[in-house]
Amino acid sequence: MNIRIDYTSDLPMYEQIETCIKENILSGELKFNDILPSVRQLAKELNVSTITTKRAYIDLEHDGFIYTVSGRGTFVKTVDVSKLLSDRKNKLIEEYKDKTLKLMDAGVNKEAIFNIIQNLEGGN
Amino acid sequence: MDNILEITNLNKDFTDFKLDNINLTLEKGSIMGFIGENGAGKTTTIRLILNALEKSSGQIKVMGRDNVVEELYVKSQIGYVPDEDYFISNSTLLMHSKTLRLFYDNWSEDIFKSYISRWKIPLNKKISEFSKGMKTKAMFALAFAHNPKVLILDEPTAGLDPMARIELLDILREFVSDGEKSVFFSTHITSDLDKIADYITLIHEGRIIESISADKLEEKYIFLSGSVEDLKGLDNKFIGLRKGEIVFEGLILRETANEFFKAMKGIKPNIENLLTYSIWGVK
Repeated sequence: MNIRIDYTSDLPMYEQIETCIKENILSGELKFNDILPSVRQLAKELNVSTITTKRAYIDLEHDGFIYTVSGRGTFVKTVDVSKLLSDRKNKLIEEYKDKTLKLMDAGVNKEAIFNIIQNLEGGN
Repeated sequence: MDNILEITNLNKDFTDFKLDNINLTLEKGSIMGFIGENGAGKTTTIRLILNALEKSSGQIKVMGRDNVVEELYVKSQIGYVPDEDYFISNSTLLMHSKTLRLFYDNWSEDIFKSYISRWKIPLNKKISEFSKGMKTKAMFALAFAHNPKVLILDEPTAGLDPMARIELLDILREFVSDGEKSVFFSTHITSDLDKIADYITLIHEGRIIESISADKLEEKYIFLSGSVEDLKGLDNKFIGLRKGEIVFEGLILRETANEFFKAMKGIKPNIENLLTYSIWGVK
């Protein structure tokens, strides 16, 4: 599992953990019925309070991404990835808009921006 | 009984200071950081919990039992580490442990010995030859030895070097890991609390001005910085603000920030931000 916390972000730590776990599910790094680290283990390794990791798991469970079997642990649920994909797409579009506005502020006109996009390689 | 510690409407009047209607609860399995300036009432609160000071009114319950009425029981459940050591300096740790164990039915020599060997603390050396860090560790070993349900720590990490502090934080995590025990932790070193505190309680001039879980702290507040001109004169929307001629930094509710400073980027606040900016206010 890949988890990277940005300690200087504006996002609460629990929210960053939730996003990381969702990304892991989306990328296939975490699969159906994979076991997640315990809240205490994860808190210790990320150097955050237990209530922070607990909150992340509660939110993820509430949103249907994971489930807990008491005494056994927390596991990944079968997830409809289309929702995750569209969330990610929307987030990227917001970032893209933000960057585009900055480009325009810097004096790059729309035509030049279209050109950049047309000349990009990769993707579909 | 899910609360290890419950303080209800606690008051203590002194001639020049009062502890004003303190309410707080500490859940099982959690760590609470108790923060505030010098003289805010932290040590007074702790001394009242320990019944080393007589309250004016209110109630303190430890493990569901009144700390005055059932003092012996309550004290057997508390492990206390003060900010200054209580050792007799020309005696040894062995002598101290032999004396202290007489007072506790639940004393475990095995637990005591395990910490002594883990931290390599000499049992037969004179305490006067101990470093400050060694004295603190020795007090922890003694506090753990009677199997307390709650650890009450008054500035415990102040005299420790960074390695020993990190090691101690791990030990506190381990202590609460069975979900049955708790830690009440008064400190100025807020970066220690960022790493382990589940709850933060902020006391100022004898009153509690915030008591919040670590996740809610980050959810509720944001720390903004920017150019003074971006403030647009809305200084009083902040909980705490420091501004110079050119730039400002301030603590603000996220919902207020979303309403008035939408374009501004912030960072999630840490405990030091909460402490300092709540006390500074808007100057």
